[in-house]
Amino acid sequence: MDINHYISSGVLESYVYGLLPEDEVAEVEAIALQYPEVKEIVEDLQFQKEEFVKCYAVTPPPEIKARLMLIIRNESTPEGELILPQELRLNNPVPQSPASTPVVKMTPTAAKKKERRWKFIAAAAIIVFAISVGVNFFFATDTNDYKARYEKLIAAQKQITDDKELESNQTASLQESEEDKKLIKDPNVIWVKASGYNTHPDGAVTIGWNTVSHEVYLINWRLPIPPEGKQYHLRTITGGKPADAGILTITPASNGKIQHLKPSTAPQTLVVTLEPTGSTGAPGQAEIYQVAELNP
Amino acid sequence: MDSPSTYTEQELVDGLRSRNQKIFSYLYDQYSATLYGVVVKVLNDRASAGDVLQDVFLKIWKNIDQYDEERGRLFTWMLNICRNTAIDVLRSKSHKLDQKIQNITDDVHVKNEPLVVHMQVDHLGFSKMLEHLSKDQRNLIDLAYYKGCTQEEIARVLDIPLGTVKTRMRTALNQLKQIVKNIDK
Repeated sequence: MDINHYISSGVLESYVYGLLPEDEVAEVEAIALQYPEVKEIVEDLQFQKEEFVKCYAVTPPPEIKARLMLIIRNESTPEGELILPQELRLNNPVPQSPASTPVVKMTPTAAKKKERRWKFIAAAAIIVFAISVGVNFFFATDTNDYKARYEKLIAAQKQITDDKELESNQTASLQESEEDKKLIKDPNVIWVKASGYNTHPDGAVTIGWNTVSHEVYLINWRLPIPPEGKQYHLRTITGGKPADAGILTITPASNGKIQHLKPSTAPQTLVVTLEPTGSTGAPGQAEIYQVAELNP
Repeated sequence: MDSPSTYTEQELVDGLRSRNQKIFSYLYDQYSATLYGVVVKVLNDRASAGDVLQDVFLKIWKNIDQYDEERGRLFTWMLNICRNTAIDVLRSKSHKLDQKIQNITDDVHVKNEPLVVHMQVDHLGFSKMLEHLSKDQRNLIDLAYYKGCTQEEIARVLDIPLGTVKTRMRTALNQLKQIVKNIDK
């Protein structure tokens, strides 16, 4: 083989610039391995070509490297395998892999399609979210409504129960105290409606005194429930001397019922006082609420 | 980290074969602009060029065991992968020969844009020297190298005899050789 003729034929340039068909490429490579001078010329030409193509260098967008490094970092995982181009995947395909899993495309149409798809998904998500909020609000309002109604019902039921209880208590107390009923009509008992006193102007109780048994009775109508640490006392005043007639029971259940208090032989004035709990003596700290005069 | 700022060819090859991601990163930093330039020039389409560049580097990473030092330098091998991949894409797009030529004439004759899309500083002189190539010569090289046209196709497209294509091509490449030699000096 006339190697010089071969070199000067221009086939090496054609080889380096990719102009040869495959069979001729193989031939040039075989000859280059055989003849060092051919190899040297080929390498020179390749270097020259490389310098030539470097003239057209364009810095690629930075995201390409980021994506590549991500793919390479995950290449041993099924997910990493899936984002490889088909021809670069391992022979054992991942079972769950879809038929085609192309590398993330950057073409404007693909990107636009993708963007559009994302826009669509985002829009759909927002709509679903808005509907969800609306439905939640609707049901929340509804729930509140039911809750309110439920609470009303509970309150109503409680009221009924309370009323029934009160009624039954009253019935019971009435049944229990047929005697008390008789007291109301008993001509021996003097009933006096008390008057309010000072800052407590309204009459709130009725006081009775049995002229025969000397018993003292009290019916509370609307004395307020005593505050914590205080209680109502009934005191009798006879000849200017106060005497304790007992502590009143003031509860909603006790209203309208006759309370039996300590007997008093000849009470002239009866006073309802509010005093600190435990005080039994002279009403030093007493606040007078009600006053009743007996005129037997 | 005391990592060398440059690697020898052998270190690069060994690094890729041992799946060294740092070496791959270095390789990308060193060569991506040149390879991207090739892809852009082949496809005339920057948007799809990114995908192709990604495929090219993945092929380099995955097929490094197919690289044979005996047959040429690493960069020559990389460049071949790059050109072949890009031209495959160009052909898969069913670009007809006419379209290829249209692109070329658009590039070189009609728009009369400078060939250099982006010049690396150290190639500035070389790029100027490239202007010593006639437009016809550059057109020939572009058609052959970047569009993957065979000499027969070029002859048909440019409507000149095949022999003339071969002669002109040799003249162009010789001219190029001289330019490179001048740069080296």
